[in-house]
Amino acid sequence: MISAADVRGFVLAELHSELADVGLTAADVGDDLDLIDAHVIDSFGMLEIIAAVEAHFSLEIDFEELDPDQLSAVGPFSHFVAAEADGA
Amino acid sequence: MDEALSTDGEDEPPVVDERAARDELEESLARAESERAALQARLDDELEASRAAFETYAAAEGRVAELEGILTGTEAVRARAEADRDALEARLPVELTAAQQRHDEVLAAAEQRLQAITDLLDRQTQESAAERAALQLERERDAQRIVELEQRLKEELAQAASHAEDLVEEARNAREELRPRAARKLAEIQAELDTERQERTALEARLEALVGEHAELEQRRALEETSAQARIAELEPSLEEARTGWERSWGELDALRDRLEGTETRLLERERELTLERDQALQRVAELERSLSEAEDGNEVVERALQSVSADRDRIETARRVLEARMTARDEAERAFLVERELERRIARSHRLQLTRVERRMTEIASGLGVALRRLDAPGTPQAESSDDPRAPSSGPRAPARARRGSETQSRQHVADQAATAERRAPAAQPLAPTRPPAPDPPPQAAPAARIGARPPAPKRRPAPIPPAPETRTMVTGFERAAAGFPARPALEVAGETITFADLHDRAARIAATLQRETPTADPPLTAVFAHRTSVAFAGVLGTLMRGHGYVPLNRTLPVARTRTMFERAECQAIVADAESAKQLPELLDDAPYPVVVLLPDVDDVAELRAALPAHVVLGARDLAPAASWTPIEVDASAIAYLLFTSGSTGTPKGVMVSHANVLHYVDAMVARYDIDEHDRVSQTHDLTFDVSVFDLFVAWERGACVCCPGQRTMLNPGRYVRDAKLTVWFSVPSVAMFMRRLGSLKPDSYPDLRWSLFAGEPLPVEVVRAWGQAAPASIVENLYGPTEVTVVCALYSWDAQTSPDDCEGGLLPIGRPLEGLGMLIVDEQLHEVRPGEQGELLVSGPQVTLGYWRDGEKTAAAFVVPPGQEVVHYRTGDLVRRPRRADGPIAFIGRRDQQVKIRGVRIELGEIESALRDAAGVDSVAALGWPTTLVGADAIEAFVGSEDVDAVAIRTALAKRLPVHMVPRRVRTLAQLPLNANGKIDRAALVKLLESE
Repeated sequence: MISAADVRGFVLAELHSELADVGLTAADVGDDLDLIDAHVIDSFGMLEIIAAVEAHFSLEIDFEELDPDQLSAVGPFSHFVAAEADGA
Repeated sequence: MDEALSTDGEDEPPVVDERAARDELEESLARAESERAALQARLDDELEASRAAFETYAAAEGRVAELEGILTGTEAVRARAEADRDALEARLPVELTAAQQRHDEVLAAAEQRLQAITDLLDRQTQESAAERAALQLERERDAQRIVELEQRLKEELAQAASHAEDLVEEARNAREELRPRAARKLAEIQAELDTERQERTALEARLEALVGEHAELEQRRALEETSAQARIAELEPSLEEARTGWERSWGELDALRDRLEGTETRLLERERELTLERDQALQRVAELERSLSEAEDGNEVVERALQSVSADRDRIETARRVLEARMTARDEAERAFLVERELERRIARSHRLQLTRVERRMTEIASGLGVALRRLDAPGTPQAESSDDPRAPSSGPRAPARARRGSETQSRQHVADQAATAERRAPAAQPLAPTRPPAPDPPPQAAPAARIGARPPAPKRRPAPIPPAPETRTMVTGFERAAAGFPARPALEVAGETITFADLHDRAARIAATLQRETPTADPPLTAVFAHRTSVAFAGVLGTLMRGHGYVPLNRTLPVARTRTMFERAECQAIVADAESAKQLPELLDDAPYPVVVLLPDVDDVAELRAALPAHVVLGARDLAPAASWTPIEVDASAIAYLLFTSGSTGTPKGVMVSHANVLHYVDAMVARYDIDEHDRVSQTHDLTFDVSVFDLFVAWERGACVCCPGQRTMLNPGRYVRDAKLTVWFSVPSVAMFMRRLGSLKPDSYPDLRWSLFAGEPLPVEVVRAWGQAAPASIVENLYGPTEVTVVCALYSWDAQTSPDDCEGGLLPIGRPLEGLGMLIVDEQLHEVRPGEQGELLVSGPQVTLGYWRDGEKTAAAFVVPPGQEVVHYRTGDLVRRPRRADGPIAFIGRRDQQVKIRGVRIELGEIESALRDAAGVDSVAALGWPTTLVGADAIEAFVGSEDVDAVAIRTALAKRLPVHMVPRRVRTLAQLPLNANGKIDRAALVKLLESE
């Protein structure tokens, strides 16, 4: 059972130094923070994060159903991954 | 109780007495009792006290007895002590005597010992005196020895002094001996010197002779000069005469020009009056039409006005003919003048150059007049305009207004524009012009005989009604035609907004009109478009082109410093920006050396930006000119349509100059092949800074299709967008398809509406095509290839699941065959064509070969060449391809030519290693680099594979079996994904950084 908080915690820990580069810490990050808009990562970085999340939680996630506008938003992404893990 | 008291109340006195008596009795009884008790207590106390006294007495008696016992004991002891004392007293004298005796003995012994010590002391004192005496003796002896030594030293010094004197004497003698010899030598040298002096005198004499000769020559020269000057003086008057003649002629010329200009001004004024009159007449016509009863009168008025217009036209025609006659006469006079003044050829030549310029200007004025006159040819009939104006059916009420403005400014604008065209064309096109053929033939031995024709394999649905092409076509003509043909159909969907052709045309016309107003004489004729996935981006590109400028796309998602380099190099004097990009303007325009006109069509309040950009002209949405004030401009097909900066190998971006003619050839080939019509919905995935976007916009609009632009974030996983937007044509870089596949968006039958699936920009892996083909089964997948320098796409390959796998090399699709009209040549290092089946660099020729690099003749000359045995300019792509074995086979892409490295002097193509990597890893995303780099190449190869599910060691082993040892990567690294650059290509610089950081 993976919770959205687990996913969120993992993602923010992975992006620790990238967040620091734009003057953020994990504590500052709200669910609506968009990682690409906030220049934390680029689209390629998003793919890396997806790969890391999948490897860490031993998942293979189908992102087709996630609104692309929400793919790089911390909250929606975490909830989507948790829900997909649950359903799988 | 209360009741008893009340009863007792009646006989109170007797009771009281009785009670008092009783109480008294009781009281005395109690007293007696207490006295008895007190007496008893005293008795007890006394009894007790007497008992205690008795006890004390008994105790005292006991004590007395005890003390008496003790006293008896003590008496006995005293008796014994007294006995002892007596005994002791008896012994005392004896003891005293003994003690005295012992004291005397000890005293004697001590005295004896004292004596002994004193003796010893005396002895020692004597011994030390003897030692001191000995020491004194020794010191005296040493002193004597010192005196002796001093004496000896003195003697030796004296000896040395005398020896030195001897030596000095000897030296003096020797010098005396040498002096005569030195004198002899001196004499010899003196003699030599004399000889030399004599020689010098001789030389001086010769010099003098030469000086004389020189003076003579000088004199002769002066004489000649004088005669020359005299000759010049003689010639001077004729020269002056000639000059005066020339100036007179020049003055005549000026007068003629002034008159011409005056005539033109009068012509323009007249024209304006006529237009006003015509408009009045038109108004009248309308009035008359509304009121039938006044029809006849109105017709007469119109008739009169038309007659007057016609008369005026005749007068103008006559004036023009007179002018032409005068110009002819002037030309003849000038020819005669030139023949007559043959002597002044050098002066005349420079004057003639000026004259030519004036002449050209005159011709331009004349042709401007021609245009103005042609416009006057159809006065009063608004319908006549529509032959040139594609918007006429939808913009009838606007036409007279435009005609009025047009007649006022058109001729002047046209002249200015032609001059500008001539100026800008000269430097850009010159390097290529002489070698470019009138109609480019395919090279005689071009590898593939088969060419991509107009045959579209996709199902053709319905014929599209296309209005006839106007006389001069530019990149934007297709859009204007579509805007006229389909004004109400959607032209663009962007940021949640659907914009019709009429609306988009209107927005573009406002931008074009504002640019015309604000930059009437922009040089170079370029405008930057700084907008990203907003309506401003599209209206900006169209508006710039409608202004007659080339557009320079800039991108806010690139580093500002890079954008700034592009903007400054292009020297744009105007920039169209959207609100989001405008945030970067202060940094972009920081120290621009001239004021820039900034158009912000989607910003209402520009106060803040105005304050931030005090040196520039900032115009918001409300400051734009009305669309109706836009005046169409004729632009030469060889002018720059867009200037697109690509990354240069040296780090500075290179600006590729693409002409309208280049783009039109490309757009026509695409429209024909893909059978685009107004019902198509075309994806717009490429940023405007990537030239593939020209397809997304201009191929779509050429036939009235809708351009569908997803947001930046949607591009991460656009699968749902493809369905929601009902796209029929998809075009992206292969990386987007790889992303979609990775995110689970390429499931079979996902996109049934797609007719075409097009990919370009980087090598297309077979694996991706297969997955895409299943996801969009009704579509045809094609790989499009082309560098920016030959206008977006110059070759393509259509995928066929049955036959294509045999054509693929290294897991990549071939780049296929050239577009109709283009030539391709595959050559070796010396630019000679390679044999079929061999590898070589791909060269491309034909009408899509662009004008070269912006203000970089050197790079242009290096990349745009005429190969030996060829007659036309070919662009060197730098891409390594394989020439097909069969004449009709497709060209296979191998890799980049500039990915060539040398390892220990051996030349290596990284593309070849990458091809082997792809096969061994079963993964398409691979890269090989020469690393670490050295002055002459690299030490070794490093390889990257974009997958973590592969066995790096096994891959290396497989390569070792296939490649020569120096080509086998030292290490094969696996990464989840290889880094990509802004255009979605593998970012080699990032990989190098990765290696550097290790």
